[in-house]
Amino acid sequence: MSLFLHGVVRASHRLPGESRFRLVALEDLAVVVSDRVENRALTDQEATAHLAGLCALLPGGPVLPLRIGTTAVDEAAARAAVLAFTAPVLRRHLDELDGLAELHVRLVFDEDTALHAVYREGTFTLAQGEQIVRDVVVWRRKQADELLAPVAARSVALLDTGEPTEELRALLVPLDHVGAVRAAVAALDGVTATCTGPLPAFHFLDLSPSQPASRWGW
Amino acid sequence: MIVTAPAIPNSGGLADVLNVLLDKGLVIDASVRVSLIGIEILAIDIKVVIASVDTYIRYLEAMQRLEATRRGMIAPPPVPQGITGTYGLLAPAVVAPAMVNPAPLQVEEHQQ
Repeated sequence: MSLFLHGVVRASHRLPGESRFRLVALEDLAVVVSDRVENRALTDQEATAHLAGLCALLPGGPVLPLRIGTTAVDEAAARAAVLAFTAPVLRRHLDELDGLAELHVRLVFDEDTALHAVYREGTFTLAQGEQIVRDVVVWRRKQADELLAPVAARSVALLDTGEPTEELRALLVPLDHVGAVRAAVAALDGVTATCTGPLPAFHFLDLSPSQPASRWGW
Repeated sequence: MIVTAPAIPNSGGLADVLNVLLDKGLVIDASVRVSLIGIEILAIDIKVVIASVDTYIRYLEAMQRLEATRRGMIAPPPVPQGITGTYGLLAPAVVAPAMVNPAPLQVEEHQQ
């Protein structure tokens, strides 16, 4: 039976009770796997279950999530997957993300307030309408920066929702502060805010090598 | 570090964030017998839209009403047009408040 690969953790990671996941260890690291039904396409439900499973792993220690839909033919291939990364880099990331989680915050600003903030005279062409949208987005980003600065030290703007007055951010917060951060976000004035998380730190992984592979930079 | 974690997000919330996490996470080189299988992302792609012409028009009209308000003029409420109910590009007719200016007093000078 082939396997879904979900993430890389420490070999000492505590799995939650009744988890359908298991660990395939390699020295002090392990890859989190689950059984996969052969020749079946990935469904929305399985992708959501992958995320839910990773979230459930967070209390047991840091988790480096793998891309959704990563599969291996057997456990030997799963071990090879860990070896494909540089082990010291994985260990460094596990240390850096220990006790931290990603929290998604959606901020919805009032449209009238936004338009008042970017008011300009003589707006009658489509191009000017486009400029107003750009101005609203700049205003929204600045508002989000100011509102979320006291809440989290690190945040990343995620893709546009399509609504110029909606901002979606990923925050990196201590796992044991998630409740406090949720409360602080809920108490923000002048905006409707909702949170999703804690999630593994998808947006705070950077496995690009910090040093070039050779003196030529290749 | 082992911490007491808050509640795991429910699957409804996770489905909402799925579209921003689909292309995130570590990717393993396929040469190690690991592969990536796709997901039917059509429904998810649809959610990723950019601000459209409808938005430009809606904001233009809102801005025109703001301008009219600031100038102390009364703009009539827009009349929805077209299939999507947008209001159209033409500026609505602005109705200025009725003002009565007294006619200048004309003094006839009698030439003597």
